[in-house]
Amino acid sequence: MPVDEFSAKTVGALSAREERIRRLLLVMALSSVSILALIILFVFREGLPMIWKTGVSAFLLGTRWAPTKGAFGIFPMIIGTLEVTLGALLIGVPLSLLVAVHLSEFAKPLTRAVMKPMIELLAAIPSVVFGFIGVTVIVPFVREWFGGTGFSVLSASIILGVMILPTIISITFEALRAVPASYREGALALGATPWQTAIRVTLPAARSGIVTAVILGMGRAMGETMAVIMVAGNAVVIPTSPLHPCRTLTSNVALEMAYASGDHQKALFATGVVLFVMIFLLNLLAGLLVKRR
Amino acid sequence: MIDSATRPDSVQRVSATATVSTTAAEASSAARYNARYNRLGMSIARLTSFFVTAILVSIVGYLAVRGLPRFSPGFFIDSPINLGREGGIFPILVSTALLALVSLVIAVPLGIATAVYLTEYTREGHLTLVIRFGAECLAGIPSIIFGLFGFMLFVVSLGMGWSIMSGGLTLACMVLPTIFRTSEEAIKAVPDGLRRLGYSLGATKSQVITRIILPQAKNGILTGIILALGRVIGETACVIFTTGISMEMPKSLFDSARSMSVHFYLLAREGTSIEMAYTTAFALVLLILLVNSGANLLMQSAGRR
Amino acid sequence: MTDNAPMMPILRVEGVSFVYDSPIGGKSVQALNDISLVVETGTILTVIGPSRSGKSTFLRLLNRLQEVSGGGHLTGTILLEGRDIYDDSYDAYQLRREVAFTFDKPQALDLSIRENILFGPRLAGITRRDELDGLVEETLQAAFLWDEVKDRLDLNANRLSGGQKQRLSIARSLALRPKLLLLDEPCSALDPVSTAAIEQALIKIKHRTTVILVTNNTKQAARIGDRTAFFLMSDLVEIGPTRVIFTNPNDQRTDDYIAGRFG
Repeated sequence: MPVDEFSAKTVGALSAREERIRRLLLVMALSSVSILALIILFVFREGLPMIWKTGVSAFLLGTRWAPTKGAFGIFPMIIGTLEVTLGALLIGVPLSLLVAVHLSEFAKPLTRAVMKPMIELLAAIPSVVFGFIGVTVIVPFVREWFGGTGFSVLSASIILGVMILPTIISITFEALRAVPASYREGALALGATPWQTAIRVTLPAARSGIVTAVILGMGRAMGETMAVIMVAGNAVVIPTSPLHPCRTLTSNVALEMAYASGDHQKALFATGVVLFVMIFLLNLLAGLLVKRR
Repeated sequence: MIDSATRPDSVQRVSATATVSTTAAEASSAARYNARYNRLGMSIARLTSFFVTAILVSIVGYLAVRGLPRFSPGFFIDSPINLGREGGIFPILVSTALLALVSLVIAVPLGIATAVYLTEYTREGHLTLVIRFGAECLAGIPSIIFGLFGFMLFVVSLGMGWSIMSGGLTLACMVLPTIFRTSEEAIKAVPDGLRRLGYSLGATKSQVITRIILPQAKNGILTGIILALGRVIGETACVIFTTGISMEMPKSLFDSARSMSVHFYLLAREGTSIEMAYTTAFALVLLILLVNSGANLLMQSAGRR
Repeated sequence: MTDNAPMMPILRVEGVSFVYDSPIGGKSVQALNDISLVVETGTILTVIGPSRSGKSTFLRLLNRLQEVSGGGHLTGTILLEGRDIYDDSYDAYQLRREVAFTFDKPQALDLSIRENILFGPRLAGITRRDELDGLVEETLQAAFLWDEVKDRLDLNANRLSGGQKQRLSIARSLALRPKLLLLDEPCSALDPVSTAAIEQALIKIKHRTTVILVTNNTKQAARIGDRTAFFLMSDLVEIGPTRVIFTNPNDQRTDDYIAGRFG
């Protein structure tokens, strides 16, 4: 008696033409991975040799960036990137959580139906426009109320904090919605107020989604270029106050790419390599945190 | 009760405040405190929401007020004069459209094909893991790195120079994950019964895909395409390095050109003309909001079905 | 068990067993155990039995629809007009046109009524306008739906009621001009009026298209079956003329099931 493997049968049932279509689709499906590989290849091929040449620690920890004189230290940019990212999270995360809780737990359906798309539209506004608003509104505001030139870590953090709102709000909202209603009912039945229920039961239950949201928001802040360039002042110094100007890794590339050549250009690719690795580690962290839960 | 205030077991802790109190007076004071705290918390959350929503409105309103004085049909159909201080943005609009066209023509088939392959042709396994991981990483890469990559590969190595082609290809790489993900969601949402129905009527696999699944997932896929379009129009960093900044009307896809966002960035940053910058910014935001509202409407109609 | 049937069988099933691959690595499940039967041309075979007795799996094996939804191991042979349908030379897509299938849940493609009917014929490469129009009327007539929809053939089929959609499904199957029509509990979600219409339709078409009807409704099986098969826990308990199965079955279990003592 013949024994048929059905899974094998199905594949076998694809005619020659269907099999060709399958292969074509497979090749196309590999495009994302191939592009990723190409990006790594091309950016690293330009950047890595420059890092070796300068020396890993001299490149990463050097504080002097004078590309025309052969000094390539990006430590101030690394610190600048971390500071504005942290600042953006300090501003963006609490706001986002409050908004997400409101939309998911308290808001009337109509309010939610109006607000949610509007907040999502915020994500569609181009970063140059945010940068422009930063220059014309935020920078003068910071100058007047806090002093300094206004082009500062603080201004960049405010703009980035607003830019990451839609990302964090949307994902947190989805995570909150996914918490089973029984959790809320259980808390409410035991006499908890809606606010207590939201803060002590629903939010903690959604924490893995919230962690993902924050990390994605962080990645967005870290990788943002145009908005930061316009408001951060871009001086290569290690900022010790929120009112000092700073330069991020992304700005470093964008500011100098236009005229850089030779080792200078390679050093900008090397800056890209460092940024890539930082973002990659962040994504890896996100993946691990999500899987663990 | 010692449990950390996570998980549902924190419910017990919450109850403690309400029920374990020894006297009635204590209980009622706790209840009053809770009620006040409740009102305060909810008000703060509501105010924050209104505040955040107001940010969008005020950005658009601010740009409208400052940009409208120069907003006229001429602005869209005239060529820029004197580095953009006068005149309009017509060649820039054309360049932007071409850039969007090139990137979508490339990214859309790739994105849909990836989604179809992953949902219809494979079971979850090593290969799907690799493909998904690739798409996820791609989605997380900052646009400036796409810029470096596009510059090195298309502009320099492949010798395309600063051109719409180089820029379009770079943008295609950037929006590919967006299109892939939305298409995958839409295809997954097609009821399995419809696939079986297709097969029961003698359809081959590719016929089931092209005649049943894709038409059914059309709105979701279109939503992804429109979102990608919005990103392409708004992107600046990687376009400057790959497409250049020429303000001339492009004669072919291999000419350098200037997209709207780049134009706006240069106007604003170099202080060429702050009035024109406002007007361009308003036009840009208006365009992107229109595109994205279209996506939102589609998404809602897709959800209704 | 075997079954001594008259001449001219359209379908001959010999010693068919089927084991599902378990999707999550656990135990695989025996769905059918050594089934043999024949179905002769121009009759209605009704298949009864409690749920999960293997009748739906049996039906899906007959036009190789099973392999679309999941894997498993098949032993034995299934012959359609003498040809082994699991032979490599048999085109599964062609087979599904010869052996049409109607599902339990009324389901319409997101197309007009007309295009629902013509979906299969168009795939089969029929393009002549008059032939297609003829098919639409002929099949809708056969499924007792024509009078209700003849003035709105371009209406989206999802606007029809459940009963209408199920009759549309039958018309859609018939548009393939199949030799054999398989129906998997087609009336389980329908009102009595639609059910009656479908039963009438099946009796009317059986001279051209042999019918196998799986049903949970024993009365329905008795009303329209020429022969009836009783499945229980992956086994074919017995098969014979419907009248005999319902009045004087060989097996006590058949009697118990029909009398409603379990199921």
